[in-house]
Amino acid sequence: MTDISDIEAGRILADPRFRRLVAERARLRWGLSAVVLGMFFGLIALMSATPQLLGESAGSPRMTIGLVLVCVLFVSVVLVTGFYVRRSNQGFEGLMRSVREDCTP
Amino acid sequence: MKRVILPALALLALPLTAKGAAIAGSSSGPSWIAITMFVLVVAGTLVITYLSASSTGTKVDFYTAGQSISPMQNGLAMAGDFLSAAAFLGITGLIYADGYDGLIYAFGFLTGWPIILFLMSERLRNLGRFTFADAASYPLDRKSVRTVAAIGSLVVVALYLVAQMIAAGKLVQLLFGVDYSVAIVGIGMLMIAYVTFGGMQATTWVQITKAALLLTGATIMALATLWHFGFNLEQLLTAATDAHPKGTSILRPGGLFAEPVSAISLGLALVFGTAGLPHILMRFFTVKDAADARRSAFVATSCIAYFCLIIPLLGYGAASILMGDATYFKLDAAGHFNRIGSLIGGTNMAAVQLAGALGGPLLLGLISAVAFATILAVVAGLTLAGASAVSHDLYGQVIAGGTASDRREILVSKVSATVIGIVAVALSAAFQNQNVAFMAGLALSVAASCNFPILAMALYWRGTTTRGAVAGALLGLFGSVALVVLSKTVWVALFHFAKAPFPYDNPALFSMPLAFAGIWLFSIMDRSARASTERKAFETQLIHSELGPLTRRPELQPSEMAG
Repeated sequence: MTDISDIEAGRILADPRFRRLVAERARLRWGLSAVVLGMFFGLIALMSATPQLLGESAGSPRMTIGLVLVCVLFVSVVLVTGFYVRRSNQGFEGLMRSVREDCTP
Repeated sequence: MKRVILPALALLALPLTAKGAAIAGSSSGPSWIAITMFVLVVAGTLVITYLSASSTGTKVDFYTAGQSISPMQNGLAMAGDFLSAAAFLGITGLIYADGYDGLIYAFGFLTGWPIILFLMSERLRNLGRFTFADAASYPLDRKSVRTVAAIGSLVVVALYLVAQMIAAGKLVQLLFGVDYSVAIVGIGMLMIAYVTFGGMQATTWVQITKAALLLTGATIMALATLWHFGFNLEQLLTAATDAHPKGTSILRPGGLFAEPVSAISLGLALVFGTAGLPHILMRFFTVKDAADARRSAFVATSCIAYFCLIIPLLGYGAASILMGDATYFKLDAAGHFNRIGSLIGGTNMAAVQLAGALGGPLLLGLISAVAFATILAVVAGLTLAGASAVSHDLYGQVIAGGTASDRREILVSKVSATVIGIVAVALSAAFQNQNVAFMAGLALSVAASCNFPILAMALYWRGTTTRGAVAGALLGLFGSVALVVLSKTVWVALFHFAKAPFPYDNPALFSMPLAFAGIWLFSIMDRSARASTERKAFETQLIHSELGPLTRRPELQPSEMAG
């Protein structure tokens, strides 16, 4: 399947930098997934729990809390994805490259 | 090349000049503006295809455009691949008819994108090369897992494609007054031409063109709507609630997501179905590395979120501007009309009618052409994904065991694309008058219950074995199909039984856990020697999925590494 040796694989897996990379990436990945799913299913839960609340006005009479909230959530999704890409491409790429350089035959 | 394309163009253009009924020319004969823009779109995409024809020599070129697409381009192409006519016309129509619930629908689709980015983009790009089945079968038995993943892809592609084609045929019929069968044959020929002559390169540029047209067109309409109301949102919403028969209830949650079980089930299908669409996942292989895959997902998410933000302006705008004017409605004998149901062309035409109301024939023509380009890009992406599942997964890897030459595999792909196109046209003709509302929903449910679980478990759970993956994915696939057949949309609407045994419209809440539980259960019960090798191989897979390919894999040619 791949041509890295077992010895080499063992060395990478034991490398503290690799373990840190895996752990931190997992935390970011699952943490942000929970945030985004929480936003969507939280809104659905809110809709079935208190539909009246979302129909209340937020400031001006026609601009309801529901409308403002969903627009804020649209923007939040972009901010969360932007944060993930920034963190991965700037934070983790360096760590990843240093592990790679040591183990590429 | 030219010999094929020119007659195709002529075939599409002729009926237009012959009769231009319907919306784009409803008041004053055929609208030449609409027809000119339509011909420009078709001609533009054919030029793209012609220019891309030279870059389909190798598999890397044909399936992934030589991995030469920039993140910005790929992000736009993803948005172009994803934002179907159903999204543009359908969600505008939903907001026009029901108000707020349409926004939640849009939010569900949008939420799928960060999930694709966090869970899929990086590992998929690092482990796979051409299709998502590459990554799903990475540590497992290549043949069986790949076969199941390819079947999942093909089912999703077939359902989605036929649903899109039927909608497209009716749309083109309405917009330009072309006969339904001529419309679907024309669309079928165009999508076959893009994929067989231009491969991923042409498909990508058709999608980029479409995304640019759609985002520009929607922006122009949003600005025109705002301008109409003096850039005062309160005034726009007041006019909408005054005109709408449901009044101020269009500004708050309504019936679509009222019942929690249905709402969660629909939500799961929207979010995780999006994350399991083969034509979207395939786009991550067209960029050079995982970092670019992430960047392209960010660009796509931004485009789709922007689209979600302006689409309510169109929906509420259509309600406020169209509902007071009888000329946009079919009148009954007494001259009355239903402000939702009697809209000419149905509520899905709300965006198109609004374009005519705001900007006359010019904007109407532009938006009609945009809607048409939207269809072309989505069906092209689906056809390419389906053809790749056949040629790369089933033929190249399973039947030929990875030994087929590039030439041969690409030939199989082109033949598959042609066959898929012809079958899609035939099915669209056969189902023309059937109620096919279940198809798009079923496509998303299968993607969420088969493709997503097999990929997610193979990428993230070290205990996954071949037996578990195959059993779980099949459970998800057949489970979702069976539940949809037993639900109202098929059992009552198509088979005309009195009452549906399965009380919910969407099966995802049940079929998705079924797939995950199946993969888990059959994996832990698997005591074979192969299973223990596979569990051990997860460690090596982890290295590759985190660090990218470290060394040249045996099947890679040195020339392919350059991309």
